Order: sequence, then C-alpha cells, then structure tokens
Amino acid sequence: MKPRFIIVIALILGSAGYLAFLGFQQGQTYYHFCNEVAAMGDKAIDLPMKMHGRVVEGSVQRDGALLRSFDLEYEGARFTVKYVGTEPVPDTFKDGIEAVVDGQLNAQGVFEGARIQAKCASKYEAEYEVESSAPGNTAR
Amino acid sequence: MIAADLGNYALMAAMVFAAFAGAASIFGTRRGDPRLLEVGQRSVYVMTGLVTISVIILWSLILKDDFRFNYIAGHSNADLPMMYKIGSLWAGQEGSLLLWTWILCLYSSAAVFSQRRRHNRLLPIAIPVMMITALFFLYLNNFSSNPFAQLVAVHTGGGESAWAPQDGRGLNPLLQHPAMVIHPPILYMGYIGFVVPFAFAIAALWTRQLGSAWIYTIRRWTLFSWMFLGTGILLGAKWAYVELGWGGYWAWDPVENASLMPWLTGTAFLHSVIVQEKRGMLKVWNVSLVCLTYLLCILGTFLTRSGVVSSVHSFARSDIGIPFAIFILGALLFCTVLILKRLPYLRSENQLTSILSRESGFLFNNLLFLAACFSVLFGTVFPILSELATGRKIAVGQAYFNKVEVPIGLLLLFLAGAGPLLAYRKTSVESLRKNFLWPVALGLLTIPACIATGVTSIWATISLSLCVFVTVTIIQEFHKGTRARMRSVAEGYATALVQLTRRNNRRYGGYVVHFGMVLLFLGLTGSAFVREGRGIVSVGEDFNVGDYTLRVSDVSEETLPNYWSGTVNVDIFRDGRQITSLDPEKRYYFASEQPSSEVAIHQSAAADLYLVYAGQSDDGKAIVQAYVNPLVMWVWIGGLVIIAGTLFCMLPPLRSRAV
Repeated sequence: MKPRFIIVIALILGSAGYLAFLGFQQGQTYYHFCNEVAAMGDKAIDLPMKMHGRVVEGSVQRDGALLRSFDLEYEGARFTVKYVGTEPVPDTFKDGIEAVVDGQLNAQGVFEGARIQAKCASKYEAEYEVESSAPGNTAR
Repeated sequence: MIAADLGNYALMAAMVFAAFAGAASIFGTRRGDPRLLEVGQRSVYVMTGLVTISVIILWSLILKDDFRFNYIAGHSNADLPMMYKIGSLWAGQEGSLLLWTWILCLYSSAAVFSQRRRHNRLLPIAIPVMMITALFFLYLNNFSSNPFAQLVAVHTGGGESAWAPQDGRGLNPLLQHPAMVIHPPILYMGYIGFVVPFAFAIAALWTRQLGSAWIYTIRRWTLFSWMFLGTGILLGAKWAYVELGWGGYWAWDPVENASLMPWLTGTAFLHSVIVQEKRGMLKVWNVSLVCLTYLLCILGTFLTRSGVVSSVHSFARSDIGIPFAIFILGALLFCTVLILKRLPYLRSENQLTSILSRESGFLFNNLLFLAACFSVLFGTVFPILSELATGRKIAVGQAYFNKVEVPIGLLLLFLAGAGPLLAYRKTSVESLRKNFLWPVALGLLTIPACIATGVTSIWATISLSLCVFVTVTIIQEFHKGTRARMRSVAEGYATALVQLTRRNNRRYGGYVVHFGMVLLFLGLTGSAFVREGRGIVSVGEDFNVGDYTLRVSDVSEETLPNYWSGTVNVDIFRDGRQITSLDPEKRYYFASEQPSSEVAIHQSAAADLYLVYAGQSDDGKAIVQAYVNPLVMWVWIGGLVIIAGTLFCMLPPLRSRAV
C-alpha cells in the first residue's frame, strides 16, 4: 500500500484516538457505592462522582412535587443527598429503589446531586406475602 | 402441571434436534450423503416447531392469567390490556431470551429453506454454526432462565408447595407504549438476522470457497437484518423521547450502545462487500466485519442482560453473564483462528492504486465505522475494565462519546456524498472537477448562510454544510443518470428517471438511504440548539422558553381503575398568537406503585415543543418542564426514508431487456 494511504489512515486513527483521549478526560467521573465513598473519608469531598445506593424508605423529602432531599445507603453507609438539579426526577424514583446520583460530597457531609438515574424496574424481585400459611413464609 | 411440562420438554427436545441437525449436516457433507444432509435440514424445521410450541404455550398461559408461573406473575396482571399481555412475553429476561431463540429458529429454518435445493456446499456448514448458537440460547432457556419456572411457597416448618398470587405485578407502565411492545421483536429480528450471514461466512471460510458466492447468498439477509436493527434502534430512541420525559432520545447508555455497535459494523460490511463483488478486494475486511457483527450482537445481548454495566435499562443483575462471556470469548477465538488460517485464500485480486478511488473510499469507510464502533465499545465497557485494573469503577460520560462520534459521523457523512463520485481504480482530475463543483460550492455557501442566521456552533455549521453537500451529490447522480439514459433511449425525463432507478435499484435505493441519513443528521444537528426551561406557575400565569410563551389554563386530576392522573392544560403562544394547547399528564399506576409522565409534544418541521408535568409544588402551583428541541422530527422522517430506500434495494432486479 502506498505511503500516502498509511499517512491518511494514521491521521484518521490518530485524530480519533486524540479526540477519545480528550473526551475521556472531560467526561470521566468516579463511580462509587455509598460505603466506598464513606471509606474515602475526606478525599471524597468536592470530588465529582456518581454515587450508587438504595433510597432509604421514608427519607424522601419533597416540596409538593419538587424533590428536595433523600437518603442513600449501601452496606451500612448512609448519605443525605440534596437534589440541586432542575430536571424532573425520573418516574422510577421512589423508596427502596437503586439510584445513581451525579454530584459531589460537600464539606458538611451532604451529597449535592444534580442528576439522578434510577434503575428501570423491568424485572421485579417480588417478595410475596403468603396469606394462608403460617407466618414467616416467603414465596420465591 | 401439563402445560409447563410440555413447554419444558419441548425446549429440551429442541436442544436434541439442534445438536442432531448440526451433526447430521457435518457428517452428511463429509460422507457425501445427501440423505443425511436432508435429515439435518429437516431437524432444523423440527427444532423450530418445538420452540414454537413452547412459545405458544407461554403465550396461552399469559393470556389465561396463570400466575403460578414466576415470569407471568412478575410481568403481567389480570387487567392488562391484550396488546400488553401479548408483549409481556418479551418484557422480562426469561421471556425475551425465549423470543431470541424462537426468532433464531425461524431464521435458521428460512435460511435452510431458501438454500435447500441448490447444490449448496455452504449450507451443510452454515447449519452447524446456526445450531451451535441455538444450542447456547436453548441452554439458557432450559437451565439458566427458564420461563416455565413456577412459584413456590417455602414453609418455615420445611417443605414447599405450589403457590400463586391473586394477581400479577403487571407490566411496568413505562413499557406500556406501542413502540415498546414492538421494539424488542424488531430489534431481535435485526440482531439475530446477522447470525445467517455469519453462518455462511464461516461456511465459506471453512470450505475455502472465498469468492463472491457466499456474498451473493447472504446479500438480502444482510440488508433485511440491517434494516430491522436500524429500525429497532430508532424505535427505542422514539420511545425514550416520548415516554421517559427527559427531553432527549439518545444518552449513550450501555444498552443503547449495545444495539448501535453491531449496526456500525453491519453498515460497514454492507458497503465493503460491494468492493469484493466489483474488484475482489477487502476480503479479509469482509469476513472480519461479519464475524465482528455477530459477536457484537451476542455481546449486546450479554451487556443488556448481565447487569455488568450500570444502565437505566439493565435487567436485574444475574449470573447469566458467565455463560455469555465464555461463549463470546470462544466464538472470538474460533473466528480469529479460522480467518488467520485462511488468509492465503483471502488475498486481494487487485491492488489499491489511488487514494482518489472508490476502493479507497470504501476502505476509509470501513476504518471510520470501525473506529466509531471501537470507541463506543471502549467507552461502554470501560467501567468494567477500570474496576478490574484499579478496583475503582470509572464511568465515562456523554462528553466522551459526543466528542469522538460527532467528528467520525460527519466524516462518514462526507464520504456518503463523495464516495459515489469517485471512480474505481483512479478518478481523473477532470471527473473530480465536474462532479464535485456544485456539491462543494453549495456546501461551502451554507457556511456563511449559517453564520448569517445566527448559528454559533461549529459542529452544527459543518453538519449542515455537509447535509447540503451530500444532498446535492445525490440529486446530481439522479439527474446525470436520467440524462444518460435519455441519450440512449427515447424516453421523457420522468420515464427515464423511473426506468433508471428500477433497473439499478441497488444503486439508487442506496442513494435514497443516504438521503435518509442526511435527514437523520439534520435532526441530530438540532440537538445543538436545545433550549430548556421550567415554570412553577399558577393558573393564568405564564413563562417563556425560547420563542414560546406557555400559559397554564387549567390544572385537574382524575382517578381511573388502574391509575391516578393529574393534568395541566397549557396554552402555547408564539409571536403573540396562540398556536396550540398541550396537556401533559402525570400518572400513578396502582398495581405497580409506579408513576409515569405522559409527555405532551407539539411537533413541527422546525422544532418540537416538549412539555412535562412534574406535579404540583407545596403551594399548589403547577411545575412544568419545557424543552424546545429543534429539528427532531427529521430524525424520525429520516428513519422512514432509510427504510423505504432499503426496501427498494431489496427488490429483485429487473431482467434487462434489449436496451
């Protein structure tokens, strides 16, 4: 193959690689579960990241339909998340679901979240209550 | 219980016949025994029949509300409308894997049927390849993810008994939308359809028949699958736009990427085979691309189901990932070794002579699609890689994907216009001047036009300029072809145009598809100009977004049998006049305790006005989120044009009369 081809091919692949590198730097965020964030201690403060946890039952505070804050927990570690975003919260967001929040931990230990991604519950891990049999039964 | 047992036995028996079909075909071809070959073919039909039986059984159990079954209790409920009950067959993992197997069986049978009579030396090897794939999925259907699993109550005193809830959990209301009902089958018809071209490619490699015979055999299959895959992707995007309420249609989510990657290599393959047919070149590219497409289809299924990458779409985390990983790695190894061993048979019959040639255009096309595919793959699996390497999961954001894919996409758009203007071997300067003059001139003129109308985004300007460039090349091609035909046949312009396209449907259908892509890019470009706003307003108050003024005229609510609904009526004004009224709604479904937004959209060629009703604030004001999404409609229109063009390509060629 003529050298000209090699040059053009190298140019294309090189540019793509460079763009990928740039975009990568800009776009990457750490992804942690709540317990990992707790383990990081002070290093987590002001570090942009995505935090994954389960929404604690009863912790969701709203102002009418506007979400104000909620608690996220995972493996014993629990954080209060203040929602500072403007978008409406995803429809799947409610008590007990798994959610990923984009934001950062502030110096007061409150996680300020700008975006929430809630797990799409297309598969239900249902725990049925069995009415007739003795208590303590679970169906699976 | 009879139905479940029958379903299970049918699936197990299908495995037996799949294995038998593969073995009979291999032995039949080795011994030159046509009866064994025929038995092998018939076994494929029997396998298909058995899987069909189990699908019908599952469907009838769903329609009869038999909630003894875990899958049915989890995805259906008694009051679910019929359309969604039918669709619940593929709403969850077990059912959708069964659908995968069923469609694979149907495709295998169709492939066998269409190739059965010719003294086809490829079919006896293609069958085992399809059967091994079928066996893998049947294994999952039988042992990992059985849709006929029944609910069992575990007693604390020991022992178990069959049990069924009063009613099922129902289908997630987000999925209760017509586009979502057909999205999985259509996407699967795309994904799974690529198994057939792959099987014949492997057969060609295995039997060393690496001329163009295998390419002719699979040409229509590839087009057909590609069309469905693209349509499935756009349907998913349309659903996300209309149902999810975040104002967009593509988020570079892992599951979205999983469907895009095989589309990228599939598109490259579709183009690349043209060069092999015309000039006997790019043979290694072609076999590699078709193998890659197949592997990416399986990988896509794996990414969507194993929960290994975090995604809004992911099904529940399961250990189904391990069999998939083994299968994909095994197949990858097999393809690599086979291609390497057959390299001597894949030598190009001609050499690349000039950069300004159509062959080199196709080569760059392949490279760009591959670069796009690998960069998407890298970004998608990076969280897994980083976790393995550093113990920390690092998520790659949308900025990465947009930064890399936009320039690649625009370069590909450029090639769509420039490629057809290049000649094989070498394009003369004279030809370049003649063909590129108008497209380049008008394309360049678009740039000051954009600047004059206030477009500030560089990428948007380039995109619009390329859209014009490609459109002009397409018009030019139709015109040139028509004029050439008019010179040799005494026909009027219109007749010549129709005859020209009908006799060269592959070429002109391709141009129509390219034009569809131009429209799609036009729609995508609109996303550079999105405006967003939120109003917390009482009845009678208004707020502005972009050029629109939105005034709330009423807030109401209603309770229906299976959901509660809150609606806000918004009057839309522009330039002082009312243009329409929109009623976004918020619903809460009782059975699944699931809220959902019914977005209200006002579509126009220039922009969509997209409203979400987020509910009420503490003091009773309506919270309305508004997006102005310019040019979105062209994405959907572009998709329709692409489908039309592809269908036109698939028409059988007209037998040339003496003209």
